[in-house]
Order: sequence, then structure tokens, then C-alpha cells
Amino acid sequence: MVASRVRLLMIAFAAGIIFYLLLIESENNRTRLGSAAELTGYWLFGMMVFLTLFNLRKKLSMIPLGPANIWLALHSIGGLLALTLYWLHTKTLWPLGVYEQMLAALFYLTVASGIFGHVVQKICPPRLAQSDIEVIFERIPAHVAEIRQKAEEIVLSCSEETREDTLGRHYLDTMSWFFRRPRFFISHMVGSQKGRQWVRQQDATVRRYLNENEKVWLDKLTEQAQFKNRIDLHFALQSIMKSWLLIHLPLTATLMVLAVWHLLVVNVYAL
Amino acid sequence: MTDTFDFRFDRSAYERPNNKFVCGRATEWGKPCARGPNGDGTCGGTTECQPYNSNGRWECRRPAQNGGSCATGPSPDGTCGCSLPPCVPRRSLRQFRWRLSVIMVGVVVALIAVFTHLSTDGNFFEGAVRLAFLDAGELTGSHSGFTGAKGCKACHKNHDLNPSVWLASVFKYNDLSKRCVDCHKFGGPSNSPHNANFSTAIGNPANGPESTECTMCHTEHKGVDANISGLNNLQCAFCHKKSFATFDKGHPKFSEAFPHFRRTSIRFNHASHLNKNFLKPEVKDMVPESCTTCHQASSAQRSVEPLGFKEACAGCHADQIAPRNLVVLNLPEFEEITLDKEAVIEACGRIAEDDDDDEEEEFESISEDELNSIAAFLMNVEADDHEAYSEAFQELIIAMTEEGHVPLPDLLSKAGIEDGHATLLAGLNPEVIKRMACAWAKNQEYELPSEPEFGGWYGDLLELVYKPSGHADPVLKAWLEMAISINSDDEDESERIADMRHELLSPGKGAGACIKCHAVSQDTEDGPLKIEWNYHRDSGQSYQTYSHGQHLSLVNPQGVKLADPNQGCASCHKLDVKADFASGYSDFNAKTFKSNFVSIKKQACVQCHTEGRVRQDCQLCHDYHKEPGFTDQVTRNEN
Repeated sequence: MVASRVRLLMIAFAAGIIFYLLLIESENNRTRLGSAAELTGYWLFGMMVFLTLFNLRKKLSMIPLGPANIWLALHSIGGLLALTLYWLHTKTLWPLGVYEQMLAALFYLTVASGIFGHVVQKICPPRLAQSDIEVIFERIPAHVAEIRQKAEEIVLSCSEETREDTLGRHYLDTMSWFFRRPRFFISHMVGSQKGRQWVRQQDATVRRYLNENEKVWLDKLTEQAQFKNRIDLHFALQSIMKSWLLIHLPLTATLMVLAVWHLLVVNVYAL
Repeated sequence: MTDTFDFRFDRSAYERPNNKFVCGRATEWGKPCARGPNGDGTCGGTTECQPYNSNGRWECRRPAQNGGSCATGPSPDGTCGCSLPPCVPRRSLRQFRWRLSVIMVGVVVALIAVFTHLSTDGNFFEGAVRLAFLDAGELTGSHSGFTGAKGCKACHKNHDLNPSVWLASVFKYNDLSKRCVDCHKFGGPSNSPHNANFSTAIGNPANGPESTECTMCHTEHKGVDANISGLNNLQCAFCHKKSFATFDKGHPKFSEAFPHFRRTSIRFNHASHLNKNFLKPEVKDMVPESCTTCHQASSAQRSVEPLGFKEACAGCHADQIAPRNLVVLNLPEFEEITLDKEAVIEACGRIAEDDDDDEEEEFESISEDELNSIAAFLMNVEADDHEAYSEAFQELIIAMTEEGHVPLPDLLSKAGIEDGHATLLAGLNPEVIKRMACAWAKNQEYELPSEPEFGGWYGDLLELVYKPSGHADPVLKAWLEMAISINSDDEDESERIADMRHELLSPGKGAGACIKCHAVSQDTEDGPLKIEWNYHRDSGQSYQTYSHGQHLSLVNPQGVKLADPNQGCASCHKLDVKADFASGYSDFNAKTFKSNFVSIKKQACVQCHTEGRVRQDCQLCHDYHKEPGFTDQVTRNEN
């Protein structure tokens, strides 16, 4: 943990040095009546290409290109460096030309989605670890189906053994909705305990109508429901951890295309 | 814990997130099948396994985590006995992300294509919409009006080329400055610092660029109201040898002559006028009230032009012009007259005295003067050489008796004056010439019927004179211009030209008294002489800028308003009563003179232009460009 922070600080320090040197050189260039925008522009474009390579690194995990956590740190701090380089390059928060405004909007959205993703990746894993289970995202449908199957088996067993249909009707009326698919997505996402409370509430509601034999089966059903609630937590948090890339990557691809177009236009029209 | 939480490969399904499709059952939160979808997106799970043929016997291959071999077993033909209803696989999140990226990139590429080159011929879109994917921002207001029909091509030569050439131009240098000078012009090379070829190194050669481009300082597309002409102090200091932080701390002292580097066009001695002439009782009513009575300061920039002659000078000096006649010809003294009397009688008619032919009297010339310098120059003879001028002048007289003014243009031509005869002799009456010549032919004075009152040509006794009609008389100006422009390689002729010039340009005696006030100057040692008819704007200090008008609304540190007609101007312009102003006009050199005013010191400006008070950046007082202007292309709006 400490080594990771030291590494992060070193990368941040290096990025700071790069930015400072570019700032100085840019100002010197401007003083010399040179093209400061050309210098910062090519640096910015290079930085954007480097940031894009992070995705390639993930795809080429079989090639020893360095630890992924270093790449992630370089990507995160490099992204912030790119943001400062962007301001150094454009000297404005919002440009005037139509396509340059599109470029700026894409750049800001890409950076914003990247920052959102970084925050999500920092917040969600500890919360997942607190759930005491490890779940592979792709297996969640299977888990949900399996839990549902077990819940239905419990209800059927209860009916067969106790000759009472109270729990069965309770399942059909209320609990089947819960077991059908992941529930309380937003509550889990924001860290609310609404799902667990809902399960407890349903348990307490039906318990008063059950005899002692049925209560044993209800306990088993509630145990499955609480377990499913933790699966739901994983589904919600892992969905966010995967879905932000659904915005970040298409934005990045579009941004790079427009950046290349900008490079072409500048070289054709101005340099 | 459920079984599927076991991560061992043989106890749980092997997940492949990279696959393009996921099981349709899983997407509907059912139990996904073990086999999963096929690569083409079709359902791969219509059976629970794919039986294996082992030595001619089909064996069930259902995975252990799905219950192992089934009780039904494979059919004899090798098909699985546990069939499942097919599902509709859906695209995985990763695949969806990829498709979304491709779609967004495709949309942007399509938009670029549609809004730029594809529309060139198709003309799908026009104007700003068409250029949306090329537009880097609005032009400044002053430029947007001059791109006209050419549009982007007015500045960008690569615009609207066909796509392949357009793309190839990425690798070619694009000199925008060439297009700038289509409209902008300067008083020197456009691509050299300050548009100048400096003879001495005032800059820092190690730093300054040898050649400049417009785009080094001026970059467009920053909006209608953008200031695209600003340089900061650091940029100035980068090239200049003498670098300093601010005007008040380190700027070199102003030169001793500042701001009077050259004498004025008009020989107006402020000191003598203010302290002597204006005090005379006879001009009491004509004395100007203040400086601004004669100087237009309210709208003045660096130079404060005086009002014209009529408003500023005529009150006292108008009457001094008319009496100073121009004497073009005078009848010189002859030792004898060799004129053909018959010819004279034929031209002028007989009078009583003509009958006394037989009486031989000793000839006594009516004139005792030498030929004047103008006539000597025109006739190319020595003014005091009787023999030389007698024959020529008498021939001229005979010609004038016969033809009036006709011989005079010939005389001008023979003297080397090819052009401007019409102006030089404008208004010359042939009859007057003839009568005057007849009188002279008879060795008589030509008597005017009455005293001349208005301007024009007159024959007066022994002279052909031109009387100035007033200030800026065109005939007189033409004679003076002729006097300074005529030259000859012949030594004698040059001497006669110099005599004529001396007479005409004499401040005290010269015709029209023009040179009493108008300076005659020579910018370079071998350069041509010029009479400074108009106000001289000092282009030698073309990098300096100053607005008198803007300062007039201010108050000096002593509390005197600079617009105050009595004291305001004196805040900076203090009269130097001891200066030898007149000596500055003793020769043709305009730069060896002493101003009537004490030079302005830097301290006068620092009183206000200092840190924390008024701005003091370089460009406040110095222009970068030399004599910036526009080409005809702008005025004709040919873009």
C-alpha cells in the first residue's frame, strides 16, 4: 500500500515536472515569437496517444509490458496532465470554432468519465470486499437463478412438510418478485441498506402468521434472500465498474479521431 | 455458499467475457446453459452436451458441474438426449462497447466528410454550416469583412483543394504571411523585424529572428472582438539589446532632441512671436489667444498640425505677399541698338520720332541695369556681359514685337525647362507683351495705364513682372519649383542657375515672400531640394505613437488641466527663448536646427506612466510596424 502511494507520488511529481517544463518552454516560445501552441499541441496529442495505449495494454496482457497498476497510475495522472496541457494549448476553457467546440466537449467528457471511473474503482472494491463473498460478474445470472431455484425448493418443501400454504402464498405474492432478478440497484449503488431492510420486513410480516415448523423454513428462505441481497450488491457495483467504460471508451475513440482531424486541419491551414 | 461460487475449473463454468455474445437465458436471469452461444450469435445450448464417440459407442459429455453424465444418454445417432429450448443470445457488454465506439467514430468521420470536402461540388451546404468542421472560430470584425467571395481561400491557399492534394499539403510548409501582404503593406519588407533593414544592430542578434512571419504575433479565429495585435514587454525585450522591466525602471532616457528631430516646414519662431511680435500694439487684435488658436490639438495624435495660412498667419502676413513681384525679364542697358527699324515699325507702327532717322544722336540706353538673374538664366548669357546679352535680348524684343508672348515658351525650352510652360506663363497677355516690347524696341519705358491692383502679368516700365495674387499662387509656386529643380552640368550655366535660385529663394527679397516662411530642405546631402509647402509629418520616428487628443482630458500632477489653453500645453512644451532658431534655416539641412522648445524628458511621462498608475507597456508608445497601410486590393475589395 505504501509502495503504491510512493509510486503514485513519484509519477505525479514527474508529471508536475513535465508540466512545469512545458509551461516554461511554452512561455519562452511565445516570448521568442515562436509557436507555443504547436509545441503544447504535439505534447498534448502525444499524451493522448499514450493514454489510449492503456486499453491496448489490457488487451495485450500476455506481453510483459509492466505491471497493470503502474499503467493505471500513469493513465490516471497522465489524464490530469493532459487536462492541464489542454488548457495550456488552447489558453481558454471553451474554444470558438464549431469542431473545436466538439473537440473540447469530447475532451472534457472523456476526462470527466475517466475521473468518474477512477473514483468508482476506488470506492466500489472495498464495499464489495465488505460483502464477504466474491462473485464473478458474468456468473451473477447463474447465481440468481440458482438462489431462486433453492428458494422455490424451500417453499415447496415447507408446503409438503407442514401442509400449510402460508409461506407458499407469501412467496408467490411477495418474495418471487425479489428472487426473479437483481433488485434495489440504486440503493446498493449509493450504499443504502434498503434491500436488507426489505427482506427483514417481509420476514417479520409473514412470521406472525406461521407456526413453529413453518418458521424453520422461513428462516431458510430469509437466509437465501439475504444472500441474494449481497449478490444484488455485487451486481450493482460491478455493473457501475464496467459500465463507465461504456462511455469512456467510445468517447476516447471519437476524441482521437477528431484530434487527428484537428492535427490535419492545423497542418493544412496554418503550419 | 452455492456450488457456482467454487472457482475451480472443473466445478464451475469457465467464463469468457471477451466473447461477443452471452446466453439469452442469462440475460433474462434464468440459468445459463453450460455450452453457451456460438461465435456467430446463434444459440449453442439446444442440447446439454455434445456426445463423444468412443470406439463406436456414444458417451455423454455433460460437465460435472451440470450434473455429469445424464441418465438418458446420447441417441444412437450421436445426438444428445437432453434437448433444451433455444434461446436468443445477446451481445456482451464489451461487444456493445465496441459497436458503440465504431458507430460514434463512423458518425464523426461521416460528419467531417459531409461538412467539408464532399460538399465542395455537391453544394449540399453553404457558408458557415459547410465549414463547421474546418472553422476554428470567428474572425475579428476587421478581417471578416474582407474575406469576401474568396472565403477561407483569401488566407488559406490549401482550402477547397481536392482531397488528395489537400491531404498532401499536410507535409508542405504553409506560409500564411504571403496572403497577409495581399491586403497589408508596410514601409519596408513585410518579413523583416519592424519592416526595416537596420544598418546597425539595435536588436540582439542572438535572440531575434532574422525574418518574421505575421502569424508569430497575429493569430486569427479568436472571435469578433479579439485583440490580435498585442505584444507584451517580454516579447519586445527578447530582441532588444537594452532590456528593462518597465518604462519607469530602465527605459533609456529620451534623446536630447526629443521630440524635435527635424525643423518645421514653416519658419515660425515661437519665441520671437510670443515675446516680441505679439506685443506690438498694431497687431493687438490679431494675436492668437492660446496655442490651440493655431494648433488643432483636440484630435491630434503624435503631430499637432497648425491651422492653415488663412486661419493662423494671414491676419498679419497676407499683405506681405503681393508686393513681392516676380521679375522674369528686365530691359538691360544696351551700348547700342542694332534692331531692324523697319521691322519694328512694321510690328509696332510708325510714330513721330521714327521720322528723325537722319538725325544722328549719340545712343543713350533707357536702362542702366544689368540683366536680372532670371533673364540671364533663361537666355543663357552672363548678366553683366553687354555684348553677349545685347544681341540675344534685342532679338527677343523683335520677336516679342512681332509675336507677343510666343518667344517666351521657346525661351523656357532653350533654358532646359521642358514642362510646365502653361503654369509658368499662365495668364500672360500677348498684347501686353507686344506693347511692352515695342516700347523697349524704341528705347522707351513701357508705361502702365494705371497701377496694377490685382495679381497677374504686367509690363512695368523696364520689367516684365508677375504680381502674386495671394498665398499659394500657382504661377509663383511653379517658378520656385522650377528654380529648385533645374540643374546643369555646365559650370557657367550652373553658376547662373545658382544666381537665379538665390534671387528667387531669398527669404528677404524673393518673389511672393514664400521662402520667408516655407523652408527649403534637402533630406540627403546629394538629394533634391524641396520647398516645404505643407506640414511635415516626421516619418523618421515611425515607431513612436502618441495621442495629444487623449491627453487633453487629463490633469497634470500640478493640477493643471492639459486642455487649458494657456497653461496646459506648457506642461510639456516649455519655450526655449535662448534657442538660436533662425540659424536652423540658414542652409538646406533640415536636421541641424534648434527648436524653440526645450526637449521633453522621460520624467515628464513618468509622472503618470508608472507602476500602479497609468499603463506603461511598450506598445503604448511604440508601434511594431513601420508605416502600416493597405494595398489597393482592400479598397477595391477584390477578395
